[in-house]
Amino acid sequence: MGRRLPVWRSLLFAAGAASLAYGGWLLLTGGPRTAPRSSLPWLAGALLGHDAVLAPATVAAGWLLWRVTARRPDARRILAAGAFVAACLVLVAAPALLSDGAPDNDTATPRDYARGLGVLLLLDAALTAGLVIAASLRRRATHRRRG
Amino acid sequence: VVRAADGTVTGEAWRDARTASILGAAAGGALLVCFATGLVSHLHQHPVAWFDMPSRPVWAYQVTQGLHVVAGIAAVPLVLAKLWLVYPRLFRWPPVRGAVHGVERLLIAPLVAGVLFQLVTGLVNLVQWYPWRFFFPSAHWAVAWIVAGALAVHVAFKAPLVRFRSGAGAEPAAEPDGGHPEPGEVERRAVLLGAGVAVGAVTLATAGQTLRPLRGVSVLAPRDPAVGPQGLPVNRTARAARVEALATDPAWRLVVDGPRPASLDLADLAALPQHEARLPIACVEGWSASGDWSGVRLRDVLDLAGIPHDVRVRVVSLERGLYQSSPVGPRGARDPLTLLALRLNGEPLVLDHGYPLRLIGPNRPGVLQTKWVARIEVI
Repeated sequence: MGRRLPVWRSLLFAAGAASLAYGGWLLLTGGPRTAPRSSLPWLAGALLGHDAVLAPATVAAGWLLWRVTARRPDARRILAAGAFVAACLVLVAAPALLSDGAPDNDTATPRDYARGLGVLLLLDAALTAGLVIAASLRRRATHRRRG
Repeated sequence: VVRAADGTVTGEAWRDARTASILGAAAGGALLVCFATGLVSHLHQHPVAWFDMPSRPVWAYQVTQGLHVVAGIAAVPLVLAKLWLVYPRLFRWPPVRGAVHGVERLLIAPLVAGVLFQLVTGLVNLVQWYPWRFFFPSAHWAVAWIVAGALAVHVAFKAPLVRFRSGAGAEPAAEPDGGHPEPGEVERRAVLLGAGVAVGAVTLATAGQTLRPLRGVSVLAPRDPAVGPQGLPVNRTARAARVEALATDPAWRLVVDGPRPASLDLADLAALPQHEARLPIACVEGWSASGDWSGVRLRDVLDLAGIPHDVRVRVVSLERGLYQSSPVGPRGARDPLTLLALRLNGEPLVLDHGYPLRLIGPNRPGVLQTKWVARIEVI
């Protein structure tokens, strides 16, 4: 960094460092409230869960999708987006599906979440399929015009 | 750059600073909304002596906390898309070019770990599930500062590379050969569109817990604002709070500690002027639902006991534990809409909504709308 740092960037560095230090101090000195022996493994687990599990799985799924659709490049991006939407819906629904919630409280998590997720995934699949079909019809029409 | 016939590019031209900037700004914007609204919620629950929280607008907490959870859920696809975009950079060789670069890379760890921790623990907290030993609000609060700090440092490091428009910097101008977009533009649009659609999907699937018109489509919402006794959801049942016996005891009295101490039973309270207010219960979990409450004004009861107008009072429940009392500042205590409610939607309160008496005030987190009230004292 040969040039001088603009003032606003220096301030951002300083404020960021202070905030980072404050948060770290809160977390490490919070006693049973922040329970570092539980919260630190959750922090590390979140990082590893993404970098070592979720991200490689996504890369592998992408690789597979690209192989399967080698002859249909127009469908790739639609399928990838549809799969991404599905994955996000699954992640957002996961806590309600995996937990008992508050067992003595009927008003907490009152819905049938498995059914709700199923409906959303079907909708997503139908929409994705529709877009793939539309894309291939468009491609065929273009070919015919050129041919 | 090799351009295919349909204008797309082989190689990964779209994994560039522009896509990273756009996704980063979107994810960072959502996180900033979470941070700001989280500060507001913290200030409600941990009031400071020099600032008395305004009691209006009535719906303020409903909006800030609803936004907190909506933005947090919207951040899930945005953060995942951004991380996926930059994931290959994790394996760059050599990993570190000098001390400054080393610090920059090192501080990505608390940023990513912190953001994912906030999203995961936040989502899990929405369904009242606590598979850990820390107290969720305390850890969420501490890690919020870690994320805010690491994000600020990250933005400060990356600022010279940020680019939102096409054609800027060293790359060739957009659409150089008439009709063909900038390299990677088709893929970039697809990535951004996919992320946008995912944000829309998760938002519609959950926002109905606070936006009532959406409750029919929000099939993944942790709450349904219409499901609960007397038409309102409950966060903590009388059974979970272990107050069933005490709350139904005929010997129950509201004790008001003041210059003229008062002890009032249900008949005494019913004989005082009754007032009505339509107020929302707005919870930290981001759901909210409004009810028509009626009862006595808190300020009338404070006046009865000779409590001055400029003090902070504490409303104490029959419940013991973390949420056994809540502070009410002078603005809230003197607001004509702040009630000690006896009735909800035309019926006497049910036990789960705080029978015999509960506090309900404008612009307050649900956790501070103390149920099963037994005592009021000056702080």
